[in-house]
Amino acid sequence: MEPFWAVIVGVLFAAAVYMLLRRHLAKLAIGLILLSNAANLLILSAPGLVRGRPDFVPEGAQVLGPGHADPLPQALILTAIVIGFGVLAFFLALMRRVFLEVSDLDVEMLKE
Amino acid sequence: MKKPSLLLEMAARRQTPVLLIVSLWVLFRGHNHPGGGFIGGLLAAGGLGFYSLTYGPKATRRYMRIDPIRLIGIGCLTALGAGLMGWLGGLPFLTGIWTDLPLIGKVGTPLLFDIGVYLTVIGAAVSMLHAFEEA
Amino acid sequence: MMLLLLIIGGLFTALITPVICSRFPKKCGYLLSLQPFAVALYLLRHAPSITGGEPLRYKVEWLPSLGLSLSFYIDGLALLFALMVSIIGGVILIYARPYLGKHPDLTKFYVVLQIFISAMLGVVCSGNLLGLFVFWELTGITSFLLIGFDHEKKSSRTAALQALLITTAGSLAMFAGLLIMGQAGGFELETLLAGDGLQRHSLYLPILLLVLAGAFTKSAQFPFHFWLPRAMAAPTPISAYLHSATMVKLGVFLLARLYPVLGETAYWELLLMGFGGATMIMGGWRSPFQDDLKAVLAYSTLSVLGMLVFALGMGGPYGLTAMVLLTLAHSLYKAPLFLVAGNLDHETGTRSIAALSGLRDKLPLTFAVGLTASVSMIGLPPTLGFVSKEVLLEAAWKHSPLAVTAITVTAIGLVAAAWTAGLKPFRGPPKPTPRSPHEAPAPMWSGPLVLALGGLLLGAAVGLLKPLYQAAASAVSQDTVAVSVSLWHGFTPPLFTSMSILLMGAVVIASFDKLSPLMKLSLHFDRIRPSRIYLKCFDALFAFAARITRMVQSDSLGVNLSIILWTFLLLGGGVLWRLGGLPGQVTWEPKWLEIVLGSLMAAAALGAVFAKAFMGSAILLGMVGFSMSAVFMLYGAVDLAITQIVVDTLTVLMLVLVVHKLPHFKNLSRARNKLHDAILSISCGLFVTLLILKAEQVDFQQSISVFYNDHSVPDAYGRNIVNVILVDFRALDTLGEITVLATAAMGVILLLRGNNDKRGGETS
Repeated sequence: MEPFWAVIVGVLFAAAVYMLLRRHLAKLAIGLILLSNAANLLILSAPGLVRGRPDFVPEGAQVLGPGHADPLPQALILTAIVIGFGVLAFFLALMRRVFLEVSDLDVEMLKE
Repeated sequence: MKKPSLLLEMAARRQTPVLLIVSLWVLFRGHNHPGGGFIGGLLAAGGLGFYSLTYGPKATRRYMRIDPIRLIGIGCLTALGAGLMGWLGGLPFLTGIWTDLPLIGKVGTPLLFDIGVYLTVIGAAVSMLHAFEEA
Repeated sequence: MMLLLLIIGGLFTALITPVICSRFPKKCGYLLSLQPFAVALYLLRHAPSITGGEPLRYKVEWLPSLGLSLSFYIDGLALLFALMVSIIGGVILIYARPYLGKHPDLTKFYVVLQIFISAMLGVVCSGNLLGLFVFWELTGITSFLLIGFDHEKKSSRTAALQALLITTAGSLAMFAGLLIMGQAGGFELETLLAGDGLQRHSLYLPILLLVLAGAFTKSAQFPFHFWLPRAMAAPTPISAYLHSATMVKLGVFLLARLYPVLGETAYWELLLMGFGGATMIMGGWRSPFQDDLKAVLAYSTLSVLGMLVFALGMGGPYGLTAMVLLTLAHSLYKAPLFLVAGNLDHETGTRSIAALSGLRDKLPLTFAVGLTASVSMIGLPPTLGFVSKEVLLEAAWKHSPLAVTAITVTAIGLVAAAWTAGLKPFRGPPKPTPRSPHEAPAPMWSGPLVLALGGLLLGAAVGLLKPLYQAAASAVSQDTVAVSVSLWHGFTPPLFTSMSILLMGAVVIASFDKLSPLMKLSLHFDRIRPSRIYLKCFDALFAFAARITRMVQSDSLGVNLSIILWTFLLLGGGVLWRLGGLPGQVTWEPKWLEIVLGSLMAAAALGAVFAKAFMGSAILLGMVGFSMSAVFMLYGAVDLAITQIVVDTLTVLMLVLVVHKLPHFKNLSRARNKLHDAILSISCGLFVTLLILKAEQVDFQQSISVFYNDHSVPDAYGRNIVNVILVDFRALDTLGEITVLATAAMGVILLLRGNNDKRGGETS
């Protein structure tokens, strides 16, 4: 893992956590998006990065030669992206519903 | 709904079918080339979402000829059914079964499974967009 | 196969019960009773071979790796219990129909009751300790549902919860005991029983105590007895069946079943006779002085349960034969007495002993049932009650004078209880009752009468029962028990004891009115009743849980999240420290493309944080996403790049659709909070960075991707390895993920649908 990307992941995490701690529900949504991006980047870079050599077994060959990116994290991230989209949609719907019910988006106002 | 701009209307009418065809192409070659059910489904959903922004959810449902909510169920059941095929043959659940067809090549249950994923993704994404539009 | 179908058949008939009950509202009791009666017939047909020493066996492997199989093993003991369960079960199903009348929950009652019958049969016929435990728990749950049948009454709900908590606490302990036992001697009952027993095992005492915890709570032994009288909140047929004739005897059954494995040691004798003795004397003397008819029966049931445990503690051929006969005799007289109480309650509208009087003429047939059953309970010849008491006394005389004294004292109390419950309401002049009584409908006296007459006739012709009780006693001891019982033994010490019991019983009945205030007075002295301790513990548990919750959780999302994150930093920091502290020297050769993309991403993310309007944030988030996509592309993840772009487009679309319907950002937090949040979030980010750098320097196992690479083309015929992983190698994960997506979509649709009705949406 390149140390550079570790720093970027750290920045994304910090930004995401800061947004998740805000009181406005819409800011929580932003935090959620940043968090899933940070996590995806983390998973991608965990097994080491290989530039420009996608995981396609060439025509005629049986296996991929050495020196390619790890396909497993990619499979994990692919579903994570789609699920993250679903979760975000759910959160936005929830936020919309909360606004309709109490006409406010302040998390602290949602206490009993 | 206010009348969409002519430019947008034209674009949506031309672009959506193209995106749908591309999405199918991406779906079917996904096993060997970039693509697959998730990507194909998202591309199709993007096209349909564009259409729905232009003409509204009702028109989109008419265009699709099926309620996207149903697609979710059909997709999930297709994927499940693809898994059950191996299971009914006495193999572990979701084991792939393959046959060789002339001209087309290898065809197997993983492809059916991917079609299930494709349909679920379209159904979920489009119905969520519709829900937001109609809310 | 037939056996399996019959035993768990109740689970299937329970499924179609709603149809039967709505199709044949009048006859459903009769129809449903066919199932248990079929079980009884099947068992009776095989009875000669079972009592002849050929147990029925049936086995299906369930989880062989855990030693769990669905196996059934019916020997003499199981036969006795299964016959009782099925025959009385059938009678109860018929009885309940007119008893509950137009009760709206009749169908629910029948469904649960049938599941219970199957569970009971499952326990007594089980050939595997783990299978036995599963069915055992099922009886506990159905019992809970049936005690709480009248769920709108608080007292019913409390009683149900109490019974459930006490019996499940016990059965959890028992489960531990069974597991140790299975490790030591095997889970299959046949291997366990045929083995040498565990009496000399190093863990014998823990096993014994754990199993006793389960048996004593289920069979309501002192000091866990108090749930049983409370359980009388259930409808009377349930009290008769579950809490007298069958389920509460499961503890006794388990002890009898495990007698060869755990029995006949000094501990066994001491514990069983001690607790059994305490229970039987306490129950026997409290019973006659209760005012509620069902409470009288409940305490006398406690007493008999104690007696059964006591008899098992004594052991030996006579003790075991007495246990077997008393079990049968008790079911045959106590179930009818409960149903008599049900009839009286149903017809007069009260269960108070003081209010019930002179009902002989109004309910002649119910009186016949009460009379026959009480004669057996009192222990007059020629009933089964008499015979079993004689054998019990015989066993006691062979054991010790102390045992004889304890049984005599108990039996005197039970004579008085039989009089109170079965005869007193019918004697004397009639008194006005809330409802004007007349005879109950036929299903409500015929079944009980058959059972009560069974107790009478089987006593008179006890020779007929000989194969059954000998086979059952032999099954308990796993050795031939050839005690032969007859009505007339000659003038022996047991006979004299028995006669003096009757005499003393008559004295107690005669001086009942003088004794009664004394007994009621004694109740005021026991301040430290077990039920009080239970209540204290119950309240304390809730107070403790509430305190813990208040400590770690607040109403505020931000505070909760902060606690979680600080904990994460603390624990994660600990891990980092244990791995050798901060990461060592890192090497990095800068590449321009990465630096540009990364900086763009970080800048857009920070911009989204500080943006003044939601729209600005949304656009900046789009930028983060597109940079991500570029990064994916750069590192050869083509599929991801495409997915990310499309999802990003859809996300921005969605944000835009939502945003114009929401108010603008507001500055809600105070500066102090912002500072705290900033410190926390920067620490988190820094920590994650350090963790990643550290992870680089720690050795991990070889990636499993090698497998995917090797098998993708040859076995899964796909050259896009990522896609092959998704739809083939790890398709189950993908199936789960599309299910999540489908659920999220459903949630969104439900949340956004119906803007006008206030509570239309789901709350997460």
